[in-house]
Amino acid sequence: MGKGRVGVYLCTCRGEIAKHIDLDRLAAGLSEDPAVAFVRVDQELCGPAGQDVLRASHGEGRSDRVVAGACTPNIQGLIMRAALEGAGLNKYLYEQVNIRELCAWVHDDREAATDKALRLMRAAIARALMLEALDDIELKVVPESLVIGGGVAGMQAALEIATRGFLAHIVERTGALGGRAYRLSVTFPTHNCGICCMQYCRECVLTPKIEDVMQNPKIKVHLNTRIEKIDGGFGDRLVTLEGPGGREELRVGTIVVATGSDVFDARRIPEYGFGVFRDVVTTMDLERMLEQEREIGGRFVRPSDGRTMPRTVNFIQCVGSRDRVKGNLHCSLVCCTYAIGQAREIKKLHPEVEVYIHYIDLRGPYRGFEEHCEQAKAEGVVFVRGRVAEVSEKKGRVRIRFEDTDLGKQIDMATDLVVLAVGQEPAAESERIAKLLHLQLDEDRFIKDLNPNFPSEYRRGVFVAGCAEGPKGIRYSIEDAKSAAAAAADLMAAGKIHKTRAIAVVDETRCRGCGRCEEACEYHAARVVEKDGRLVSVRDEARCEGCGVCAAQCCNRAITIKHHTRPQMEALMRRVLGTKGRGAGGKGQGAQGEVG
Amino acid sequence: MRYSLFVGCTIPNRFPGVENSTRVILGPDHLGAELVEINEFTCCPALPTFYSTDRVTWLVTAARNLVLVQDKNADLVTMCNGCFSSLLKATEELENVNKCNFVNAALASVGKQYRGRLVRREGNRSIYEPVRVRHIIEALYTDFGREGIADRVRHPLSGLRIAVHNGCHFLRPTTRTSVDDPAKPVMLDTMVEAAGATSVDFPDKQACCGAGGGIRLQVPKLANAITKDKYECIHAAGTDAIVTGCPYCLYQFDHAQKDLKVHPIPVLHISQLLALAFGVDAEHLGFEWHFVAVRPFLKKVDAVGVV
Amino acid sequence: MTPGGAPEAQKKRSTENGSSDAKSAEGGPLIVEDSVFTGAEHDPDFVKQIIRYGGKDVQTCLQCGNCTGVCPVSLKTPYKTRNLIKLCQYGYKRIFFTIPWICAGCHRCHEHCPADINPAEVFVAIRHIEVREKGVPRFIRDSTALILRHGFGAIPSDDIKRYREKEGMPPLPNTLPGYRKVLSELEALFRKTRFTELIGLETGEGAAGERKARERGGEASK
Ligand SMILES: Cc1cc2nc3c(=O)[nH]c(=O)nc-3n(C[C@H](O)[C@H](O)[C@H](O)COP(=O)(O)OP(=O)(O)OC[C@H]3O[C@@H](n4cnc5c(N)ncnc54)[C@H](O)[C@@H]3O)c2cc1C
Ligand code: SF4
Ligand code: SF4
Ligand code: SF4
Ligand code: SF4
Repeated sequence: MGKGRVGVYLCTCRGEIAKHIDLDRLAAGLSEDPAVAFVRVDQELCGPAGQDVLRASHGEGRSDRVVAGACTPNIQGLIMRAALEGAGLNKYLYEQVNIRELCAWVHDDREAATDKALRLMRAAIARALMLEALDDIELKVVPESLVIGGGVAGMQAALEIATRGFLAHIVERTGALGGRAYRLSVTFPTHNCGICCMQYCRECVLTPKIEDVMQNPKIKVHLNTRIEKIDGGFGDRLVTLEGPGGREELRVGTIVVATGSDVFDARRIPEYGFGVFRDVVTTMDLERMLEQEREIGGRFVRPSDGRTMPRTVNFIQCVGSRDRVKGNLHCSLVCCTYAIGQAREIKKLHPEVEVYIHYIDLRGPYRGFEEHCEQAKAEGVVFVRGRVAEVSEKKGRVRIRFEDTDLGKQIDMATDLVVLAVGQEPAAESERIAKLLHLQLDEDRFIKDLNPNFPSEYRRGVFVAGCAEGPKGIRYSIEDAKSAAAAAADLMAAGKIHKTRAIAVVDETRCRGCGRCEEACEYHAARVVEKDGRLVSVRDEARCEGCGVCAAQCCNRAITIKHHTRPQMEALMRRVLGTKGRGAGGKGQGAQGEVG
Repeated sequence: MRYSLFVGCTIPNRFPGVENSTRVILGPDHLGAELVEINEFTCCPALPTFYSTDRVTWLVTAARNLVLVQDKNADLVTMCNGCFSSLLKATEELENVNKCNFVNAALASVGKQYRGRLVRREGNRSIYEPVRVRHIIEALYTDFGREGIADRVRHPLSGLRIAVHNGCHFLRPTTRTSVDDPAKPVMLDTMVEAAGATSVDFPDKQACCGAGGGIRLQVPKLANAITKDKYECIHAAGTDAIVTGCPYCLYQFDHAQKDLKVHPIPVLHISQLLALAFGVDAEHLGFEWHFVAVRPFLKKVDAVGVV
Repeated sequence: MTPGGAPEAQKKRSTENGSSDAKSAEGGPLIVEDSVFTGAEHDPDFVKQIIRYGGKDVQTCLQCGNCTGVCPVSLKTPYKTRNLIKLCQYGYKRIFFTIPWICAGCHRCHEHCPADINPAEVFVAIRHIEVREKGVPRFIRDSTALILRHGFGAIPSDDIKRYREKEGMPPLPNTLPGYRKVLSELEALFRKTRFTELIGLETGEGAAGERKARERGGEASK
């Protein structure tokens, strides 16, 4: 049983915790515990000074394990733990209680909050006494990478990975690389091309890229290919592809998800009459119309008669975006810039056409956006604030009805072409891909990054880049891709990946090989195999996430989750609940009898 | 088909012909539905007076009306958008257990309890569902259908151009309250076509008549101004009559035309139009209470109605 | 080029009771009584009160104007749905008590609003507040009195009675002797929900007398 000497650190969190918790009383209460070597209170344990305190204090050698009462163990806790590791502490002998979010921030009653903190800290100490020193698992990383999606983000990621000497596979669902950006011409901020830029783009032949990708010996492009299955674990995954040449398997160490976004289906807003009135089109349709005019010498005409040029064009912004009822709550971030670009293009080609942009708010938090708007205005594009309410048709012309919110007046005007600035939505397949890789989706159904402030955070060798992570412009998609690729390449260059030891282990003497764990494990980490003539369950270290589901399923108590063992958790729970246990953690400290 | 007609306030007191034609077309000579008479109904109650003033009183009063039909094994059928929307909304709100208990506490003082209609028993348990509140347009459309109605037509109104006015409370709000698609309603148009007439298209077809929300009562000038826009669209489309499923819309279109001194277009309730198509003599249909003379329209009906 | 263009449409839609387009008789600019909002009109509880009476949270309104664009009343009066919602956001409750705003309850705004505000129900909630804090409109008291006396909001004329007889229609329920019980039930319920008290209506045997609306604290709970 725990003979450990526990060093206890409490943090005021620059007053955040101290404001709501009586740290003096907490410290005094904890000092009474015979297992505690000392209690130190600091202003900011995660700050440079705080880290020094941790290092120096642990270096004194009075403690062999540590319990901290501070903020979240998953962010600042990692900094504190690292400092202690620097002073020789095994990281598995560190325990932290979040007395900020669990006590200080959620309770008004200072005394009660302090009591709660005391109870949680004592429970953590009880567990800390039972912790054992462990080392991380080290896994090999296969030096090949899979990039899902061949848009700008996917191509950039693959190029980046290839440049660093690793083989990259691009798996693209469609028959061509380029994704959305390849289909746009008047993109912001360059106004005539996406500059990203792909050689096949008719607007620009300066910076070949599709060609680069195709010719790069370190990039393998799989077009018209679908990801069927992804198996395996950290650093070594088996990917099954279904392509024109049949089934194929890849073994890769890292994955970049760059599945991009889809455009909103305007039919979902019936009052705009898309699909009903022929002179109602989307920005993507207009793109093709303008392209025809520029390239094939066609004429810019109304779709309804195919002859006359529209005299008036009205853009409707936020179609499917910022609409929590029929569309999506999020702002798509690119449709303002893009519609303005198209409006300017129309003005450039045909200055006599009246062009209106109907917006709720103009959004383009990018450098150069204000200038873009100003130029559009100078070129004669009229901006009208107010969401268009409905589109109708009268005497062969479409009409739009709206309130000009600046005038406070309803307007019902006839026009020749209504252009719906459709927004971005998560790609149809992104949910399936996320499931295959155990990634979370955010509320807006885009794939969630681990830390939204920190792009391409490493997560089991899987990275998300471009619009798969949320609506964004080309530049930002490419930036994402670069950092994802750099992180992936770093991982492959190191050749190994560290993983926590806190995973399942099977006591083969107790296991009867019933297979319940195998059925329960979502990560396919548990498998029943024959060993010495009998069936036992084994674990794949690379796959096991330590979720504990199998342990809960096992009738024979054969499964232990390291670092969260049954005695450790029991000691913790008994102290929280104030019940006496069979031994564990009870001796010496159990008699204190916290109030319940 | 067992219906309990909920006639409300406006119909028996302003347009008795609407009630009569409904009774006639549903009656044994024509569609043959079974009508269950209930003599304890009150006002639905009206939304502007009650719903906007005190939701609780509104719900309790509506629930009292619903209690009267819950054990009669009949659907409550209204010929008025106001009654329809008020009572249907009430059945929805009463699905909330807390609200229902609250309402029942009040109803207990008059010896009543709202449970909904019994649909089946599972052992000892009785399963209830909300009382079915239906609009005559929807009941005709769903229960008899275009064919069922067309079969009964003895006097097809072919060649007559009809402007349908669904009225807001038949269509909205877009929750379950609507039985027809608010963006593109079809039921009333189908009934008009089943009668042999043509339902014409015109701009702003789903616009409001202007009377709702107590506007007719409080600011008739405003109500008329709103009607005028819609009237103009209808007039421009060249129509022989306006047909609606609501006596209040009927009243508004009728009265506004008189106030505005415009070229008169007769206004009929769908039940009246169907009664004409079924060959019922116009003299039974209570047209004398309409402000805009229906006679010119009846002449056209006679002219086209060669069987 | 005017923003929103289409002068043709504007002309057609110009309001009946005239607003911004109006000119005074002398041809100079029209002078209207208007004043600066000082913020003193602000009532911090208004938004919460609206929610308490069954409305949605108006704070998330985008001010996009879609509601005004479809509103039949906004078209004809200076009181635009979007502006009214803005007043709610500001918490300018008193202003609602001084302007003759109205809503047809047609729910077109509800159908179109991208932020799911449902202005129609917000206005129902504001009517609840008005009735309790400003006073009861006459038409509500009158029609309630009628309903208490006859069960319905209108009474048929003699012509109509004759027509019903001639057509062999069933008698109107409230002409049957048993209807007295219905009326007393109705009265009991209105008392129970304190509706008669709320709208200042003295109830009694068939006779309805008016009384000044009395302050009534709080609404009946939901
Ligand atoms: C209407 C519109 C206008 C825009 N205007 C501008 C602008 O003016 N300026 C600007 O900077 N940006 C603009 N953008 C944004 C720009 O298009 C994106 O930032 C960029 O295309 C994102 O690149 P991506 O590679 O992340 O995704 P995408 O370009 O969407 O590419 C994703 C690729 O992945 C493939 N894919 C998807 N799912 C799978 C799967 N399961 N398996 C295999 N492959 C898959 C797709 O087929 C596609 O090729 C606009 C976007 C839209 C929709
Ligand atoms: S970028 Fe502009 S058009 Fe697109 S959703 Fe945002 S505000 Fe609307
Ligand atoms: S702990 Fe979770 S991931 Fe690991 S083997 Fe058990 S069920 Fe699978
Ligand atoms: S439609 Fe909705 S979001 Fe737009 S202004 Fe009206 S209430 Fe606000
Ligand atoms: S419900 Fe009221 S505010 Fe909404 S559109 Fe109709 S009249 Fe206007």
